[in-house]
Amino acid sequence: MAVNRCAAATSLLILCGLAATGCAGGVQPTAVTPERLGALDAERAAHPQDPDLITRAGVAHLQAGNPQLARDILAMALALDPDRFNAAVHLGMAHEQLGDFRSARTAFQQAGAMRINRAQRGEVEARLTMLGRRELALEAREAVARELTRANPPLTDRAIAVLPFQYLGGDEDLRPLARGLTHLVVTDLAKVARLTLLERERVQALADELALVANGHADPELAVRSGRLLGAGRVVQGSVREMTSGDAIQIAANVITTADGSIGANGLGEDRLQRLFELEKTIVLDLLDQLGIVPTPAERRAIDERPTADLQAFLSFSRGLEAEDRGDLGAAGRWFETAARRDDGFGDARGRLADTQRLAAAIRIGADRMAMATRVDSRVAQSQSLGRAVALVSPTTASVLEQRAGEQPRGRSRAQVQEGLNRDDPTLIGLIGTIILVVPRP
Amino acid sequence: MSLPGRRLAVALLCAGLVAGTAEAQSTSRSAAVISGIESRTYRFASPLPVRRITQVAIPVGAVASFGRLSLDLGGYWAATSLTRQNGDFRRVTGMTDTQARVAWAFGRDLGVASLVFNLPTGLDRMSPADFDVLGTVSSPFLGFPVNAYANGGSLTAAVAMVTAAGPWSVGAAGSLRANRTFTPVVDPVAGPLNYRAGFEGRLRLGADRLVGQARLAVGLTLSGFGDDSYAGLGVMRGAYQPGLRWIFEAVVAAPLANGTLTSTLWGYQRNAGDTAGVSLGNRENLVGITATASWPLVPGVSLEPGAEIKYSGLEGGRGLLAGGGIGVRGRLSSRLSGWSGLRYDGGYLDAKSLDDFGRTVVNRTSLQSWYLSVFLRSSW
Repeated sequence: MAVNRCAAATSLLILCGLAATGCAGGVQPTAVTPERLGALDAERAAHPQDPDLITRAGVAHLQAGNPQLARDILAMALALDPDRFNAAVHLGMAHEQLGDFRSARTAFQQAGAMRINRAQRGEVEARLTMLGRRELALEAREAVARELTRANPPLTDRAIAVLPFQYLGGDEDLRPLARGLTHLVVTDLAKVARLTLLERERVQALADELALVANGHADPELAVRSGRLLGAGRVVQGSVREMTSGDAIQIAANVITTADGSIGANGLGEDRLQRLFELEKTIVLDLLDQLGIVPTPAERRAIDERPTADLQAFLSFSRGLEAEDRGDLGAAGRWFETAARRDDGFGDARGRLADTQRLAAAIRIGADRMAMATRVDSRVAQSQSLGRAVALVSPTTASVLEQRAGEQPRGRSRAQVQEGLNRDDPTLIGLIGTIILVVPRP
Repeated sequence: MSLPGRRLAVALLCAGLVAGTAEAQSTSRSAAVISGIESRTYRFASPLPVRRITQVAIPVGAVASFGRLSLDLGGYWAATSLTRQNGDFRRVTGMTDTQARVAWAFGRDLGVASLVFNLPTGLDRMSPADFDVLGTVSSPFLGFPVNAYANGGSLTAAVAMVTAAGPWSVGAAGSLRANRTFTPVVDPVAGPLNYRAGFEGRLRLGADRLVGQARLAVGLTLSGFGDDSYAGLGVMRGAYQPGLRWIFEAVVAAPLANGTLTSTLWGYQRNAGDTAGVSLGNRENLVGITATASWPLVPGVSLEPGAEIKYSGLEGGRGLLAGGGIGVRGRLSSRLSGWSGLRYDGGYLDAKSLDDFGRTVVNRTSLQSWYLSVFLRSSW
């Protein structure tokens, strides 16, 4: 259990770090100095109804590591101006850091519903994507918590979860293959319409939570437990290892029925490493055959498609998946790019590369914007001072009303006295009602 | 006041600079309409002859900005009622003057120039009895929403400029106002009184800067006047020279948890005016300390409590008011926001007089005040 907690904590830290810095391997926003934070707070206090200044202060507090205060401040800014994109995005980030993913999603969706440009929309989508990953981790944690109360979700027979394949060999260079192989099996099984595959990321999140892989061997009991936690009727559990002789590898896989723990199908194959993809296809088809599922010709053709003919490209792709799972978008992007360069036709690698680049670029924009937002711009205060100055020098009813709309009620007294410049008052307070002539000056 | 000094004061333009909300130089178009209702009631104990003054006012204001150009228009409808200790009751209802302003921002937030037109839509040509009612609400100390229904037509030209000086943001601005003759009161027997206020010039200097997590703003205003002239009511003709006025204020706004706290110290000094070299003895000095806070209750809604003490020193007496209130401000929709406030003040007025033996005696009158406001603002 301690191992599980440690894994979960590590996973959370990685994800938190991703959210807090805005970009793993990307642009890091400059630190907010206490002076800058103080200046922004002062501006916020001086202009409590100015959504721009309030947003700046909220962003600064988020950057300074005060998500709770940032959340409250940004919510205030958004209340003042519901169309303020910066406030909505950073409010979502504050909620995210506080672990309130539902509110974070609401805030990001609110930002996405605004009239925004393409870059901003990209950022919102990126935030939602990353939030989705954190939500998967949370779901996994909650599923484990529910397990104690026996409140697992109902099993769905059609649903299959493919647990991360385990690498049982000794060559560290080949270890990422397990991640890639899992991806391949999920992709191929998902092509069969009769099956409902759980996303690899969701299952990986649970695996991280349970630290399944750390045990070093395929444990049917853990597979059953995982199936129950995920609500999957069947669980695929497998491993890959290199043979001691030559460059051959062995892939083994079982399909375990969650309800009773029985093994519904199993596959075992050995071949040369270069024939990894053929071996994986063989095992997938073998499992389907034992499960009594006959793919349609179209499904069969789809399963037969090789993602790439280049094993090195696939190995890079697998490393990219590993980096992506641990939240390192920078490293993931580099590995996906390597894979795509080696094989132009490697669609999965190109797709993941595009996604990663989009995420990184979007978050970089967010980080830059965060840095911009937290700069104290003296011109902002200057411009506002001018607006107020002209209102004081020649007050009008509308300007006074607008001023009161934008400021705290100061009991009217100060404003009243300022307005008092507009009139003369020969009346004495003690003589109210007895004065002969009172002519208010304009 | 000597004539040259007076002319100089008149020629001076006044300026102001404290941190505020409106952006002088917006590049976007926006518009808003604000309206609501305000009500203030004062209840006086005897020996003051007035028992109660109540005013209900409905303001309507509209503002619009088109890049560097901004326009606003606004006025009040108000009902003011006066009840005397003997039970006599009188109410005055009507519109106030309408003020229209056009402002132009120039340079890169260098300055703003504006013209204000006071359109004479307010209630004038009142009976002496009605005018008597209005006299009771004209005091800055009491702070009624509307303290003058009509002022006659006027035009005010103003300019404000601001610049940075080290950590300070400093500014100066000024205005000059020219007025037309109007008829505030018509006596059924003696006829109308025609009144023309002289020029008014204002000079304001202000500065603000950050101090730690707070923003400090200080401002000083000087207002000087030309001679007012009046004629009518049968045989009355003359001039009135208002005294110079000064206003000082210092504001400190600082964050308090996730809210803000704003503290204000202000003072208002009005020198006595004179007619034909005879002082009217209407010197007044007002000082006040105000503290207001704003805390978010739930997203979109903030709570704004406040407290204030103000003191009025007069040649013929003095007054003190202390009170507090609470306000709620919230956004009702993406375009509509509202705020509401409730406030109570209590205090006293001391009026000096001479007894039969020529000794100065002070008659104290206690007073209580309630203020209620509800405002809505719709923006586009």
